[in-house]
Amino acid sequence: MKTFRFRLFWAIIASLFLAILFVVGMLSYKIVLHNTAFISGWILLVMVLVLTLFNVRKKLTYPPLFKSATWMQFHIYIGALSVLVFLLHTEWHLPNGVFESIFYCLFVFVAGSGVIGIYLTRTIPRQLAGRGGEVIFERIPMFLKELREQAEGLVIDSLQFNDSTIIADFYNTKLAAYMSAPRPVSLRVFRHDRLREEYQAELKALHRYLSDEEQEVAEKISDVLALKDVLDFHHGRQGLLKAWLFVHIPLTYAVLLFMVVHLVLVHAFYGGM
Amino acid sequence: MRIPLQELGFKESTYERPNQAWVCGWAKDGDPCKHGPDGNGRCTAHAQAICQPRGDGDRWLCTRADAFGGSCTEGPRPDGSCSCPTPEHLVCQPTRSLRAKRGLLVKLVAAATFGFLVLMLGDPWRQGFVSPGELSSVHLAIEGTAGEENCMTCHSAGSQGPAAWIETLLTASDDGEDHHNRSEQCLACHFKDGEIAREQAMLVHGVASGQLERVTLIAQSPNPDQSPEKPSVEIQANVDVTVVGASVIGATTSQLILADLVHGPIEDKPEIACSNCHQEHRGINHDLRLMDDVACQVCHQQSFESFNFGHPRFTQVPRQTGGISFDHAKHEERFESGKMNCAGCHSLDSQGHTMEVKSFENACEGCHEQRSTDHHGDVIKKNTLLMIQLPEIEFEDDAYWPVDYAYGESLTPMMTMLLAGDDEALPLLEKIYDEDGAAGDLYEWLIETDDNDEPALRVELAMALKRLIAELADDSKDGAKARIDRLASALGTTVDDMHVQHLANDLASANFVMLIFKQLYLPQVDADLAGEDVSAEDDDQPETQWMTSATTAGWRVDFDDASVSYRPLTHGDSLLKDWMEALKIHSTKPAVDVTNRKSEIRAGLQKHIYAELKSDFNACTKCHTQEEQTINWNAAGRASGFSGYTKFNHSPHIAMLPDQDDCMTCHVLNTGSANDLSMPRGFLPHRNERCESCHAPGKANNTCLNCHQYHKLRP
Repeated sequence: MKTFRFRLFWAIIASLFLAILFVVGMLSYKIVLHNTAFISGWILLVMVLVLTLFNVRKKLTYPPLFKSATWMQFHIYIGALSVLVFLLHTEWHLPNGVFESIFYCLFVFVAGSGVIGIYLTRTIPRQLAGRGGEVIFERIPMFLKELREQAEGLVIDSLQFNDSTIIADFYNTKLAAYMSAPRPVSLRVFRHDRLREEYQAELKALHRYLSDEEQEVAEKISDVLALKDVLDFHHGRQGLLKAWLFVHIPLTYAVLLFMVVHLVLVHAFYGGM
Repeated sequence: MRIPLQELGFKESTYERPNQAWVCGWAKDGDPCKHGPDGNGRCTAHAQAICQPRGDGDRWLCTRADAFGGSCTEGPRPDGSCSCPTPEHLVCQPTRSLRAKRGLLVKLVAAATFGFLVLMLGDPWRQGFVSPGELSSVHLAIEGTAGEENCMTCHSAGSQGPAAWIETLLTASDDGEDHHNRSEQCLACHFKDGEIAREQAMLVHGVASGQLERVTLIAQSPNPDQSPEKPSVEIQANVDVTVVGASVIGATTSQLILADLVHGPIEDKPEIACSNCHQEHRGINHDLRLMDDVACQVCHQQSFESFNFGHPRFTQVPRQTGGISFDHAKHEERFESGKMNCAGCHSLDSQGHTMEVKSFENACEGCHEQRSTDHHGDVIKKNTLLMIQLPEIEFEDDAYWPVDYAYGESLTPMMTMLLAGDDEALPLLEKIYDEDGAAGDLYEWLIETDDNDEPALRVELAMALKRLIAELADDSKDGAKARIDRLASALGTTVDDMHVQHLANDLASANFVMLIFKQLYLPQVDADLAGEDVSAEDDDQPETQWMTSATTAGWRVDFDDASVSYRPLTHGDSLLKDWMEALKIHSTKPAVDVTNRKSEIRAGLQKHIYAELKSDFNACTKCHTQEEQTINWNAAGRASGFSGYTKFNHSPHIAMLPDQDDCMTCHVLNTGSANDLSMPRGFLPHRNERCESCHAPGKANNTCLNCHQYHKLRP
């Protein structure tokens, strides 16, 4: 079985070969005063259509046109080549007109979100595995609820010892809100463990006022907090894996529409000057 | 250590359906129902509770699935219907799944984009929206008709709508005709007045391919006489084709090799659309003439890396004829002694591009002053030109002719030319100038008339001359018209011809002199021409008259010779100039109507007259060189006219000189042997090294377009 590195190596070699072939072809045509914008434009159009077909392919279960993973590989490398074709098509110039500026920005956003998407899909799974556990994104609220119930059960258990309400008071004032829902997106994405560490530290500080049994409960609550933190981390990272597509896919269709109009315009207006 | 967040085993984990469009409303609280909403987003909590009871003998058993809560405690009704217990979950408001939300966003964005495009492609925003950007500064002034955007000035699509644009897309082709048609809008303004230039505008360099081949052959040929077609420029022999650094391989050469590998040699380039090179809508500061060096060289036969590596030596620039002939090398001593300097004769034009030659009065007259011994113009003044003199003719019968004052032995060139305009005199002139007969010798012709017993011909010649004298002396409108008709006939052209008009004006200035001449020597000529019986014996005794009034400047009646002569008063004399030009141009006209005998005779006479006058004109043509059909009255400027593809801006280079009058830094006098390869007017060829010292990578611009222009005719 071919390893990932083996496939990556040959995919990059093939992409570089195609890129050099295209650059050489365009350059040689441009030297002899051919209008390369039309050639590169049509090539770019075909590439964008092929890239868009990946989304269609994912929705089709039949006919079995290669595995989705294979499509994904093609999507990544054709996408990278399309950026090169786009830059040559625009001759490395920023546009001046309203239509072309919007079109340019849309393409940049689509390509940029694609690059970000590749980065996320290549790094987040490793991070998730590193934080332990596997959980389906849609089930995270359910597990959060279970953890909350577990924590609340421990708090109720603590009340039976010496009629002390230290743990219950602490839970009500600090942890109840934390346990009730996933943390804000910004905290989940960036500083995901600082709040948990603060709560765990405070809980540890309460040990001097707690009986041995209560301390045992507090330790269990601290473990629940750690689990909650892992869940929040999963929720945040998996959310990112889904969020970038909210930019990439809708803007792709906007690009397609602009591309059709651009095609009509350049054929209608070409050549006057 | 891996912490098991959830069990994903077959039995422990339910099956998720992320593709479903709706999810249970309680899911976000972590307590979704097992089944979830239906496909239309409706809660199925009640439906989940309902079952289809199964009969088991005389009993009915609840069949509710474990996933929906299992068998209910109430069980089915006695009639076997479901008792519809309270559902396990409360009714919820289902929400869209993430995937459904994304799908909805895709539709919204697509719809919004479509709507935006439809809105913007409609009036009144269409033109501004589709415009790809600001025009360059040279085209900013283009304006459409009132109230319209200016797109349609260059683009026919600018006045159309999206429907027509789509039709254009569907019918567009990539053939040469389409390219030509699409560039027509450019040509509508550029090359407006030059039909040929317009037809050839999209050819390589805007000229017919044959012309480029000729230029190539001229550049490659050491001897122009051996070229397939003799060029209109003079080439020096032993052209030095040595180039420095021709073998250097760099970015340019590499690209040329690449293009050659991909396309092969560029031999027959079709038309090139304007937009292939001129990229518009790149902003106000964009230079439309920008072109890569490699694009120039891909067609050129002698390729090289850059101006500094491999550019042909300037020695290959052919020598150009034309313009005023002035050999700077012959004036070397004066340059060295400081008596002459460049600024004395040259000055920058208004744009600072060309060093123009100052006028004769400002540049030359300082040394070559009137009346000086070395001035050729003075020769003209000393040697007056004989214009009219009555020839010595004897008649058998009585004829009105001033025999005592007719000293001429031949017809003067002016008289011959003017007589050629008289249809009745033309047969006589033919005989007089017959190469097999008198060959222009009037005395010989008179003998011939004796030998042939044709005394009437003498009378006819006298009558023709008398008609000429009377006409030249006639200051009435009829006289002026007669002179114009005579000149037009003589030159074989129309009365509207510029040269006819100029010469007629010159002759009008001699009216008074001719009147005096007529009164002195043919006072009764009008009566004679009217058929009256008159005799020369009745004429008064003539006296010497000098004409010095402003209107007769230069013209005089010479009593000693009984003639009218003309003496130019100043350089650039209009009569001499007009006369030379008229004779030069009309005597060298290529097409002579050989079916018209008169036309043929007149063409022969013009050539004869011009040849006869050449020695008189030498004083002029020494400096004012002659071309095929023209005389160079003015300086020709620099030698860039050879190919038309070079340009040079003197102004910044003069500013770089240590001494602003030190033009010889670049223009070195050719003081060596005559066989040295030299550029026009006594200079040695420019040295590439002089230019390369500044125009080099990292220093001043060294691209092709810095010194060359693609279009021979500036559009």
